[in-house]
Amino acid sequence: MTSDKKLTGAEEFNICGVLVHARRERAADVGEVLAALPGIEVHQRTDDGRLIITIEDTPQRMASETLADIHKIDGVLSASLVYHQTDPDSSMEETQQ
Amino acid sequence: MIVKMNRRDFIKTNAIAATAAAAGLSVPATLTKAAAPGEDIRWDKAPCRFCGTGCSVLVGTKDGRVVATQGDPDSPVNRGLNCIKGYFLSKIMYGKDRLTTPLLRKTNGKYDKNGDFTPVSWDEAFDVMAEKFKDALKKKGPTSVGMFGSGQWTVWEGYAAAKLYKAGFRSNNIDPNARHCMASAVAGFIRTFGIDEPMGCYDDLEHADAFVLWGANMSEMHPILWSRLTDRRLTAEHVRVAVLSTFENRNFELADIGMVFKPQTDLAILNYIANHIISTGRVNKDFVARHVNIRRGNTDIGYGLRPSHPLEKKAKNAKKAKGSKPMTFDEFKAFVAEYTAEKVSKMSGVPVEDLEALAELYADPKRKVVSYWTMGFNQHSRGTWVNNLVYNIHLLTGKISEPGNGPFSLNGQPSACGTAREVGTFAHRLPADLVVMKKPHRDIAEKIWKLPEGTIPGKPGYHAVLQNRMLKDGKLNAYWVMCNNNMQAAPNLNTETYPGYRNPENFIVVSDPYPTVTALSADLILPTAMWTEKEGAYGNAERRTQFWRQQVNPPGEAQSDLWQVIEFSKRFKVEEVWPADLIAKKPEYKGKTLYDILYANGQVNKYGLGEIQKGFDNDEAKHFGFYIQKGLFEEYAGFGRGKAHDLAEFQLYHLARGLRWPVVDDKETLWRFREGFDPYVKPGEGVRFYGKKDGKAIIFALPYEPPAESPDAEYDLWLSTGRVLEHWHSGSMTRRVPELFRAYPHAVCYMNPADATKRGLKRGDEVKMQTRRGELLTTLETRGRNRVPEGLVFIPWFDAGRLVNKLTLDATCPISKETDFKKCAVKVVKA
Repeated sequence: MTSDKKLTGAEEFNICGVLVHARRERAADVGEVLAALPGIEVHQRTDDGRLIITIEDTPQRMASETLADIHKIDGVLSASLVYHQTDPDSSMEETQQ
Repeated sequence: MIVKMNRRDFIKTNAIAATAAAAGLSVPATLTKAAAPGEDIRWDKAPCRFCGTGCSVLVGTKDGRVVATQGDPDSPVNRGLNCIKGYFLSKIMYGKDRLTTPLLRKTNGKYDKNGDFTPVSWDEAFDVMAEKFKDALKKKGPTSVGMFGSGQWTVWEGYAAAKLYKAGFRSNNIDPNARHCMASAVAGFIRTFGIDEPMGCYDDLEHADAFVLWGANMSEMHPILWSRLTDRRLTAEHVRVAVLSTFENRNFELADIGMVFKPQTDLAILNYIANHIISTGRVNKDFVARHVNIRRGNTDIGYGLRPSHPLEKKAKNAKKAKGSKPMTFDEFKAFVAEYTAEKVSKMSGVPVEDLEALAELYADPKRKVVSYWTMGFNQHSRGTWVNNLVYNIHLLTGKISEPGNGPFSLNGQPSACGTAREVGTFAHRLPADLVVMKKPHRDIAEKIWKLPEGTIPGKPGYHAVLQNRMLKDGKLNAYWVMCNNNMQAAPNLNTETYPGYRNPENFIVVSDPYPTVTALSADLILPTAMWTEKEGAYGNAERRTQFWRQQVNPPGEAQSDLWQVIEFSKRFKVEEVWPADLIAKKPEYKGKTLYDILYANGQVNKYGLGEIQKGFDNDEAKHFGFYIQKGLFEEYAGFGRGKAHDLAEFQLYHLARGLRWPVVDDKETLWRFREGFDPYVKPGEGVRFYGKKDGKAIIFALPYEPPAESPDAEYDLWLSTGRVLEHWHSGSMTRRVPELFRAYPHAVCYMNPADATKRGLKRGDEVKMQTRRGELLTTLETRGRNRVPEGLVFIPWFDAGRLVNKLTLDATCPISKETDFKKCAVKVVKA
């Protein structure tokens, strides 16, 4: 991801776990909008409007910017950061569990 | 099962697992499997470095560096969630321009006020600094030395600094930057209740039926509390939210009643609500009769400007701003009767039906209501009054000191309560609400501190705004600024702040992790360890004291504020600072240093290094040879125990997710002044406002009075300053995070589109903002999150490149001495 480095000048990579609260009746739409945004993956959505998502840096936007953008999506009531990790960009390195 | 995954997937898995857990959702089994072993990250708790909410954060450290953060699932405040500021936490310590060595202005190898910053050793830095302090003390006495401290100091840093000044240097010229944000709340609490800090707590968020925001942008500044409020609003149909502001902000999206009022007319709206409660017969008469006194406050009290200012000369009660006289309920009723819905609607610009709907939230006896406020109230030339007036309506209805009912001042800084207020780092205060003006209070402090009688001076020192004036006037000459960015934060920069720092008579020291505009205006810069580079304690807005351990080491030669204050005290022999007759009262102190007297006093140095948690560093304790944080905390706690300010034993805070004082028998207090919740209220008393001798709080009759400066033909707009979500306060930390800098690089001027059109301006234009005091260039914004009404412009103050306080006026609330950063007159023209 050399483009990340070009963008920020930082040799690191950000991953966030975020809990989104959407208006119940809009939650499905919000889920679709979120899923379509670069860097976001929607992992779980509940009937009462909660969504578990992850946000990563993309060549265009840092994770924090995407996180800030979520607040602007119609139907989103709040977006709370639960987990954030900064890591040297070493996506090729494999870990065995 | 063996899952082969790359590092990024592995981290992502941890992120999903933590988020699902915080939401109370189960995690897919495959994820649990992968997440369980964890990485070689060490996790430990710490309160967030930013606002006064006091969220607990799990800090992940790896190879001596903070690499991850997670909302603490065990925290009752944030329950596993963080706001976007949690993202900044692991980055703020790693800005590229972090200061790592003391820097002294020098020419040809010698100190020179007009020289260039040159790296020096701590020894040389303290040598020059001590010489300047001793010189000032010798020439002009204790009032010529001073300090500007912080609501971001840890509890023991504030305590050690206050002790060095008030007891060591015998100067009360120490004040915190909390003067700029909380002083009106303090003055309001003391005036109405006789004891500082909110009676309720965040648990009110789940109990109230209505929330009223009086000048608090909770959704952007206190997002975690806002998410709890949002949850309550959405899960209980009957709950109502009212939002008051001088411009529309994000909170209005959730508001059932949203009102934009003309600046300063909150005074009138509050009096109207009192009038409405009385005139519709909804006063809780029993409560008022048993728990309330009524007084008429002095009016025409001026604006806290220099005494030579025409407005001060004109003000009848500028010197008697705090005065008041008793009055009857009927007199109070007559006093507020003129504030009718119609009249106040005209004054405020708020429709009558909205005013009535708001007043009904308070008047309806069946509805539990919480009032929240931050800088909209506190940064107000009648800041103490608006605080008093909101208490009036809670007292008239008895809606106070019980779950879901109460007034609550929110905090902008992480330890404005815990350090600035509770420790008493203000120019007039001592720990646990004691004040320097009262001899019995000084006696208590001198006894606990083992000082001869008469050590602590009885006259309040210079408060924040006055410190800048006295620097400029050459009366305050040796000055230490620590853990704040006051060149950027203080009002009227050109006229009152900068001239004092550069006054050739003065020596200015600034301690900071970064080269802020304040640091660059100094003569000596000291590099500072921050947040989890040291062991610390903060106290949040709901009286919750929280501890953390040192997680990582500071860079280079950076040292904590605690180390700096205490190490500096070694440079002073008591003979150099105290008069002979004072030392004669304690001959055993002869020849000792301030360090010996204040910190190696048998109390502060009582606890050994063995008590420090294994596996964690504690740089200061190791340096001084004893568990200094514990010693300072336990000595400090001696002021409040048994006096309704009880703190628990030190070690308990390392185990708990914070505790709300008073902590009696290891049990915290959620609602003060109410029997059954507060151990200081005796059985049968029901409610007792024990901060006052007779147990009664005070309702104050206070009118509307105009602000110090209003728009006129030439300067035709209101100027309000404030913050934005992306940057915290002056931006000295958040602007070091590259992606944040990129997201919101510069402060812009928010203007109503109609006002722009009238001036021939359009969005994106370069504009000049001008006041009677200064000007700056910026970009015009007519859209976005802040929708200002016609006649008002808003600009945030985080931008070191656009110093907003060149524009502001140094008018303060005459009682609290807190600046009104929300109201002055400005004109905006094309650049």
